[in-house]
Amino acid sequence: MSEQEDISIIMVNTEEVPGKNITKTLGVVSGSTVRAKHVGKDIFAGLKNIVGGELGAYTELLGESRDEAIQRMLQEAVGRGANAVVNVRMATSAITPGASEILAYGTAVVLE
Amino acid sequence: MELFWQIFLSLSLLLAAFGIAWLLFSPFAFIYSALFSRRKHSKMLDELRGRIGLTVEKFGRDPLTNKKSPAFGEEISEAMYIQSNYVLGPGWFNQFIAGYHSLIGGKINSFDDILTLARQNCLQSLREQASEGGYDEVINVRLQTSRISALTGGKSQNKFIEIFAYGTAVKYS
Repeated sequence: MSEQEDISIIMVNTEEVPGKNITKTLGVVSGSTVRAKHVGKDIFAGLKNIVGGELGAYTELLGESRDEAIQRMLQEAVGRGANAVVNVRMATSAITPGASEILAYGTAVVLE
Repeated sequence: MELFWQIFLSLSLLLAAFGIAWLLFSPFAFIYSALFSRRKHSKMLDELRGRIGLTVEKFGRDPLTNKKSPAFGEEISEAMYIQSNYVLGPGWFNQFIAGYHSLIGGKINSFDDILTLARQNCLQSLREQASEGGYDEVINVRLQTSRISALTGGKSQNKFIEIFAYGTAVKYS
């Protein structure tokens, strides 16, 4: 995934792109990813949790997985011939201890 | 075969040593948590409030809104999606207090503090991203809370909370 070039088409989480008209909608597109951290980082985070505070390793991990989920969504949109994705929503769920799933979804549209 | 048993034995001795060390260490860690976590979190919150004040001053008002269009109906020339997240370890003492309160009920002040800290950190990061990119406002801001857990131990002492905020940064035309 990381070797591929990042897609950058217009993406917003509002219902329309300001200043541009939508000519066609191409349906819902989505992208998801499941990630886990290795045990060493888990133990370190566990020690940091004694006092509490930000757990940088996990913040970074989830940030990266969100970027990846978004990239997958944009790939699907580009595959459908869209040039923008509107009304993007994100969802997170803990599917099993040690791993969580990130889902990004939105509506692929063609702008004039 | 002899070598295998030697390695096996030394590994299990090492594990046992770690176990005993942990047993001795954890009560002290709990006391440390009880004494210092609240103070540390309120210090972090003060520092964060200072930073929020600076950014709000720079914009002239709070740039975040969860309305779908700019506050005064301004025309938009450019829009970009921004996001930020914060994984929070509540700390042993907070977890203990929360468990205790689930028996008798009531308000848990220390947990309030730390969740406020995480949320404000996320929102502040959105403000900072907007000001760095030269945007005027962030519209349609949404907040999300989810629970993640580490794989360590069956006692499931490590339950972390993730706060996630996202929105659309806009420039006025």
